[in-house]
Amino acid sequence: MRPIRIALTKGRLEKDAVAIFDRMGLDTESLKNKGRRLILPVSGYEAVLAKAADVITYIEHGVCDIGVVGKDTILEYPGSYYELLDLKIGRCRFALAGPAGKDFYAGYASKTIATKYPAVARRFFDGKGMDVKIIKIEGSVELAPLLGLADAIVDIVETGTTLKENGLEVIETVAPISARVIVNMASLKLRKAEIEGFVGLMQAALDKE
Amino acid sequence: MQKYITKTPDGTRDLLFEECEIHSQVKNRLSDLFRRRGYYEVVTPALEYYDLFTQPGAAFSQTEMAKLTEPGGRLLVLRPDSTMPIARLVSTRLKEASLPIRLHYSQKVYRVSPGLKGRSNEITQSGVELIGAEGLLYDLETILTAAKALEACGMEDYKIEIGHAGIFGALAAGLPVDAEGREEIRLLIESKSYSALEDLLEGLPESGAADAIRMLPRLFGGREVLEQAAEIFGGKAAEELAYLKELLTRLEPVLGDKINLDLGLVHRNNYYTGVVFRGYLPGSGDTVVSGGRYDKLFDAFGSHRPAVGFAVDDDAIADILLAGRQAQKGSPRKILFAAAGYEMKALARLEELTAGGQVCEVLPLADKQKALSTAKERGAEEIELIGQLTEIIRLV
Repeated sequence: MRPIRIALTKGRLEKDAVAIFDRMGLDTESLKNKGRRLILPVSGYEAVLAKAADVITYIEHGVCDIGVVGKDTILEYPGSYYELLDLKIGRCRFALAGPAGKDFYAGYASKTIATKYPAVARRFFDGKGMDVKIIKIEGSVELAPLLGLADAIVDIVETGTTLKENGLEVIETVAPISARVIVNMASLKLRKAEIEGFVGLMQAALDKE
Repeated sequence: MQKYITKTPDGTRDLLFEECEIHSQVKNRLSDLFRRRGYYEVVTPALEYYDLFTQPGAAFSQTEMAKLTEPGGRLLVLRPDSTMPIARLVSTRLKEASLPIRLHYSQKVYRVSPGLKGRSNEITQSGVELIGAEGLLYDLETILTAAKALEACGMEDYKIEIGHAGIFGALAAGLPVDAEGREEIRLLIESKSYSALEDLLEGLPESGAADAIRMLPRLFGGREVLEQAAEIFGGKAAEELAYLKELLTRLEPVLGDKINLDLGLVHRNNYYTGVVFRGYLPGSGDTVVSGGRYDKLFDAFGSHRPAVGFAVDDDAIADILLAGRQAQKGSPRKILFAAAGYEMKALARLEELTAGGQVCEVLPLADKQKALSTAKERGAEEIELIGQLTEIIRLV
């Protein structure tokens, strides 16, 4: 049987996740000096680095067993997998933001929302029973209200500095975000001891902090 | 539009040669097993009325069904599942049949999955429905049949896990939450979101039920789970737990460590009413077997009939069997080349050989060299050149 395979989200979460691996006592040398390899050996496990949405895809299909991915991606791409642990790293939030000082909810006209996360925005406004027009933007979402394309945005907010610099402010928090450990459903059942062992180590590393 | 004449729609695929053989093999082995266990085969239409799948508790999401309209304007769907159609069939045409009724099927079901996720929208499922059947014997039989079904396909390292739909209901009844809150909790248990579940429960007053719910997603594995659960379950939940213990105790001697428990199996919780179970195979990231007891389903058709059943994902098993194999063009064959004027002689020879089980095909004979190269291309082991005389040439 192949080693347990772990998919890590590249970028923002990567460093913190590797730090947790270090605290778990794993040999993370290969993760720090990746070279050209795509599948990296980590103390008897195999690790891959992937874009957040791909981590979910690999876990859902069971080609990787354990994944580390942000709640933002989980909310945008819901699927069937177990979400075992909140790693409490990469903390930020989804927020609804609009031009400072303007009452977003005022008036009868239907609102236009620009976002990189259409599913999250859709669900948020469905929950409010509000009909809104959602426009998907790929790059800097803050630009859309400045150009007059949208009344507000739904986006990830860390410190709020970017919003402020562009004359925007948070209207409402949509959902808190942090990194989660997800596991393929069949893997957890077929290789329970190994996966629980790994997740247990992670939990212990978090508690140590 | 022209380019669409060369593609299959998203989520569907063609099966060729060996793929077909393996798929039929899986289907045949399962059907054969079910038939020998006393189940009668039924086939239901691929098209059903939309209404059939909107029954409260057994509803499929509108977004996952493929819809069409009838000339009169009625909404049709490609069946997303075979249990509802079979319930319809039993409630009408088999209304007076002696109980229990044992039915099996092997047919395609259709789902609309979000695009580009590599999911199939057309899945072959083989399964059984045991209708008008209440009690331990039938639950045991159905779980064993599921295990034997995987074995019949040559799968040895499978795992079957059992749970009970009543446990969540009993525990959730002790929580001060409305239907929406209850559903939120159910979803967190289903996805084993330990921390989110804990956060949510922290907002509720402390109670035995809350403690038990908190533990529910973690309660999976072997027999040890029973003891952990026994300490925190009370009332109705304890009764359901005792029943699972009974099932496990009887199944363990036969299935050994292939049978496990997951008390956090809460999927389709308004549909299932008793034991629920799932099967897993190494090499597949999906649930390969899914089933359980659904005693309330027939109420919608005006008669109370307790029932239990399961479906096997044929395609998942076939994919496991095919993985790692070299693609082949099917079984080795013999080619008969018929010279002009000797067509009927060649066809008579074809009759003779195929009656003996040989795989054989007939082609017209132009010249010998061409015949030989054609034979090689087609992977033939032996050819016969049939004219006034017959020349047999062995190629391998």
